[in-house]
Amino acid sequence: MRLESVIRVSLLALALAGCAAAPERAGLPPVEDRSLPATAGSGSAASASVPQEGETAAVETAPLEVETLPAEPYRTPALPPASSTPAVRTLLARADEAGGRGDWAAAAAALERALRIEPANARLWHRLAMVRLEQGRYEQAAQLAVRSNSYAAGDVELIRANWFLIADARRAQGDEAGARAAERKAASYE
Amino acid sequence: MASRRKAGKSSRKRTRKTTRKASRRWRFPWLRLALVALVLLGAWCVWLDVTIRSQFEGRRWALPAKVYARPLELYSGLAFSPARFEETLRSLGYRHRPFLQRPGDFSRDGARFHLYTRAFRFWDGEEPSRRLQVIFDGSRVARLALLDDGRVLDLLRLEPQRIASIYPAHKEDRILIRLEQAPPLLIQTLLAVEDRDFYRHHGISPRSVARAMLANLRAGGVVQGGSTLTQQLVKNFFLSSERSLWRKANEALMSLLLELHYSKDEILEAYLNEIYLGQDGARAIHGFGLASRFYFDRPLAELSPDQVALLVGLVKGPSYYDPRRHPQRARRRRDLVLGIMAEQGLIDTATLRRARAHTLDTVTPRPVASNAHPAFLDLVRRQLYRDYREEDLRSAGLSIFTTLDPRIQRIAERSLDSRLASLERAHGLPDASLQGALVVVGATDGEVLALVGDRHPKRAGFNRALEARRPIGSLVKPAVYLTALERPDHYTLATLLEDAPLEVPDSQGGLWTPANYDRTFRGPVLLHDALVQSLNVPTARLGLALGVDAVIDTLHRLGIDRDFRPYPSLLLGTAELTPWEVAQAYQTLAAGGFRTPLRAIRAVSAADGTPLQRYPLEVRQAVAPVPAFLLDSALQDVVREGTARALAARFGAGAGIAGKTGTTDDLRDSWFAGFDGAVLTVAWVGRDDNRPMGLTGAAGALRLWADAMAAVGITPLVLPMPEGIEIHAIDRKTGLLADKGCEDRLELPFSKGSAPRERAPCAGRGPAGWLERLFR
Repeated sequence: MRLESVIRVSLLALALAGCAAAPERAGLPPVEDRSLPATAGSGSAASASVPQEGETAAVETAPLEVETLPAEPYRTPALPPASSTPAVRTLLARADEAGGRGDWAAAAAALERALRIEPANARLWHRLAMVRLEQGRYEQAAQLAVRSNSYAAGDVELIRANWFLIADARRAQGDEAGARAAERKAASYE
Repeated sequence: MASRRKAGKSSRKRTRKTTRKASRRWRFPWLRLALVALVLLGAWCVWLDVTIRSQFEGRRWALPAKVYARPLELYSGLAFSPARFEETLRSLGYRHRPFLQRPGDFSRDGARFHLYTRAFRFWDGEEPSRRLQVIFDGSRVARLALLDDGRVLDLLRLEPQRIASIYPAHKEDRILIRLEQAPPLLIQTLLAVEDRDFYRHHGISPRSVARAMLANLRAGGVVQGGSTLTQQLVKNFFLSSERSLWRKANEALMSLLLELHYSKDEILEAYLNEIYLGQDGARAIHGFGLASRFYFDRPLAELSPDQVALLVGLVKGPSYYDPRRHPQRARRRRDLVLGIMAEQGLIDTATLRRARAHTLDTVTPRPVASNAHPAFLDLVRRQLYRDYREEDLRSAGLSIFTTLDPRIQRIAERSLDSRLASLERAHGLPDASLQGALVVVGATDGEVLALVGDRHPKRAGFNRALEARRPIGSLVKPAVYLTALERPDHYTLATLLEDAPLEVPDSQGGLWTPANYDRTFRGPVLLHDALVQSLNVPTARLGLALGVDAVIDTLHRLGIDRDFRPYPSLLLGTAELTPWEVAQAYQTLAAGGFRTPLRAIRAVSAADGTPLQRYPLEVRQAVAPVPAFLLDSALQDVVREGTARALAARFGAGAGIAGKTGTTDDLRDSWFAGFDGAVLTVAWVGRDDNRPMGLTGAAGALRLWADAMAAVGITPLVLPMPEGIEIHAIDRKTGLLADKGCEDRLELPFSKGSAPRERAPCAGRGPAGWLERLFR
């Protein structure tokens, strides 16, 4: 009888224990933390395209490894203020501040906002080209510099600065001949 | 029992044994049964335990993705009317109040606004909540200043409008709140009305049941519930209308178990987010965070006491007390709850009186369907699916920042339906026989401002803007002429083309004999005029001389990612494209040769605000600036004096609009692609069954374009002139240099050095003319 009752009691205890057992747990909030994989292919060149019919778009993911540029100092002269609109100046200041921190993505974001306000502002396109250069996106840097020139309309200093930027971009891509051609082009604007 | 043992020894032994057995059997059967029952109960308990825990914890509060339109960015000098500003504020749920008390309030005095903005975390930074003054000067923003210290604000970014959510498959939605975020008044009211002993009981509360019964008896109706918040939470997890005893028992047990595992605060927080509070079509409204938005279109923190009371009152029966369907019941219930609030000292009598006096006006009409712009959202999804799984889109609570301009989208939707209806009336076409599409993008940045794929925009079916492949007709011609203009040694805008009968052997061994729309031939025409008047025959000749492959290459460079068969008929537009593809190609032209991939999304961030993905502005020079400028100038002339001159009549030649009409064989498709200084819009009109509808590009799509753009507002276009361009006066008849002596002359741009050197016969021959020639 003793054994039986021991068994019964233990079974009972087990049953109740089953009900009451609580696993080790921290007080989890109801929201599940479903952080996605931080960035697809972080560290790789921005490549994942978001294709659409007749469209190719590059998707910018993590901040990229910035290739070390050649040691020559960047030759563009410091250009005077790019805009008379306070909003654009504020955004430019924000872009500069972000650039100073090395947060090129934030700098680009501010410049894109500025471009929505003044899409024909050649200086803004030039600044964006500089940011792309810093981000190691050389092809885009060169293209944006060309875009800047299309709005430059006789701003010789800016046109020259753009050609120097294109030269840097080409050099960074290993196109030495192209870089020299761009430098010659820049020189033609003296 | 002792007497039994006194029987004989052997029989006694036997009897003892049997007696013992018998007595055991007799003594313990109920105990055995009880033990079995207990074991069963234990197993059942374990099962319930596992279930409730998996519901509570393992349960994923799947959060739908939030899709936002582009935010309004205000700055001094922006062309924006006060009326539009008020409209924008109201669409964001801002309320007009005499004083700014809370974020979400605004007041207006003519051209002056005072505004208390809501904080919002964008993917690229946080916009704080601010009290501001916005002053307009006519239809322009004059000044933005902070109210607190008068400092001028250069740029204001308002929170973006939420245009859609991408729901989890089970169609539930939440706006999750932390316990700390819930207004104290809400919690106190909830406890007072639904579960006063919440912090004291262990899951079920017999005292509550008793008290509720008493209160209900006294009141003569159901005023208090006997089930605890815990029980209600359990019930919500297994939403079932079944109210059997069995279910109630299960719920009671699970409530006890829940309380064993989790703290009161955890349970309360879960309750606040879980309790069922309404229905929006197929979408279930769970949690106070979402209910606050659903009924009052404002965040929980901004609710007034009467609104809090209404929500708490809904707990008892969201359908029964639905303020939209049963306003009187809802009001009575609300007032009852307000009474309890006062009785419990949560509000004072003055507040009670004021709150009770409020009508249910603050309850908004049923919000627009969770997906108000299915065609645009379709585009967003397609662009997202490249990078995200459906599952993540529906459940990870992402914030998707799109490029949509809600105002332009609404204009586009309205214009499409109304213009199609008026076209049907004007041309005697059957009702609802026409369909159409509109794609509106930023000319320089390729951001999609609006997308309409159906004249009934709420229909989420065939998205004509993205999917309807139709022959583009004359829309292809700019590609032909661009190809030519890229060869300035051979072709300029002044080159004479032959408009004379043409026969070309086609691939089937027959002959292709293109004809002009009016079936006549003009003889030699300027290249410029052939494009501006959209003449077929000179275009075909030009295209054949260049080679169809060269034209196809141009189409590819412009951004059309499709293979084409190099048939001569391609030159007149037998290629089939979607309005979206057309928009991409014309965007390259609108941006002076710089192709920017069309984007509907700017960025995606995670539920906690961390930016996950950015879709940056990218350009690629597809066409050199000089030929692009030459072509764009000609496209301006299409509007000024060509097939689209109705636009110049409507908007004035000074607007500088550029574009191209497109008409297909038998008038089955009507196209117009046009851009101004800010925006490129592609319009298509046709029948789904592809039958002829009798409308040319100018008669159909052009009108649609004009309607939409008139409402949006035209920004004048001044094409930036690149280096290497020179302008000359040209005699229309001969394509040679003209002067005042020539009647039929026009000014044309040329790539430097490519202009004709000869003077036209009509140009001055007199001594002055000779001298001029000498000094040239």
